[in-house]
Amino acid sequence: MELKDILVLIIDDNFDEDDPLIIELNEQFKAGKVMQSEDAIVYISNNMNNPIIILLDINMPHHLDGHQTLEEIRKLTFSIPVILFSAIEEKEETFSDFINNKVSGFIRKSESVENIIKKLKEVATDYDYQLNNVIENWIEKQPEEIKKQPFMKTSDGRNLNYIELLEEIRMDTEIGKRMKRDIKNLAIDLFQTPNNEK
Amino acid sequence: MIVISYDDLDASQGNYFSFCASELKNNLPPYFSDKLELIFGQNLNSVFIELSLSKLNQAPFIFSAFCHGTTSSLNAKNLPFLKARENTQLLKNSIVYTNACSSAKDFGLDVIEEGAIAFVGYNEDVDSLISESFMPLSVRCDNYALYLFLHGNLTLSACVKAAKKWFTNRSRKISRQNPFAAAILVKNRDALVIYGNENIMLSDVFNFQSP
Repeated sequence: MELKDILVLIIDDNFDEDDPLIIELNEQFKAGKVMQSEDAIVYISNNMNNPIIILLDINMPHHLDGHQTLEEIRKLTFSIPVILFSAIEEKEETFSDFINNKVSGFIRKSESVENIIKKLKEVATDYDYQLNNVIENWIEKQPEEIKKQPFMKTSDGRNLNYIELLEEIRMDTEIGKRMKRDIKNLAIDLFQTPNNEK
Repeated sequence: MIVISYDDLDASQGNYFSFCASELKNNLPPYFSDKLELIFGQNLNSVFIELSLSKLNQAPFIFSAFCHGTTSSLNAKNLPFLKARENTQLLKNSIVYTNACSSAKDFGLDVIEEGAIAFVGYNEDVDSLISESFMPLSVRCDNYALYLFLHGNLTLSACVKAAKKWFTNRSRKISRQNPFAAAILVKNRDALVIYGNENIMLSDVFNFQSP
């Protein structure tokens, strides 16, 4: 996946859209967008198949705060990396729920644009190698007509095409978890001794 | 005698089960041409099964079932037609072969307790491939061990082992083309188990000369 495929979504109730960071994000990534928390959650739920990295402010007094926003995002998916983006000092903040909800890091707002972009690129690289995104990349490369055809039937009788399977994986449903486990088992199986017989 | 039962009326998998049954039926050795009973449609219920199997089970026979299952039953229209600790004695003297999900966990063990010769089935929930390009492969995988047993001079255990090897080879071949399909084959392979008399051969139970 290229950087130009990834949208960086800044969830903040007071971020200037003319900030140099936004200009740089528009140059190096697909785009930098700023949204308030509630709008961002709607946007994410409508764009589950598109690669996004989130910069999440913590302190948003007139909207859902960072803790609540991350909780809502994680109800939708664990596949989108979220980086905390705040003026608050790390030691002043309670991080246990952030850790449970799998944040990818912390960036101070006072950091230079260069350092922020560098961190985003690191996360984008990790993002690429997460299994979810490897799977997503593979599905994206399939012809459109193939993506939409049912290709498997689950044990409980559901037909799934690749797009539906990808949603199951991104939403971490039982089917999604099972398929990820099966893909991992395939990888292990392929790495067994070459003429392994079972 | 060989019984091929299949739930062709199932709303989601009826087509698939029918394909499995056809694949088996169309590839039976000539010996079974007048020794075949098909049970499907509205007849796939516990009453008809009892009537049918109680006539057969005084001598060895093969019972195959392409249907949904639970850990303790084979089902049609969400109702068990064969259920552990209820009517599995009907399968005494049989070699049972089924693609019903998870049926090996309890049902398969119970049929052996009740006098079946052997059981081959899945001990986990399994998925099937339904795209035009992969469904024949999935159907073949579901049938392969029984096909080998009917056509060769192999023990049932050797047939299951050969079928697993075939699953592995197929999954390797398609893993680049479609890793999801390959992953499903590997999962299904690992779920396939055999109980009872693993060394049984077709010629042990029928007056059958392999080709």
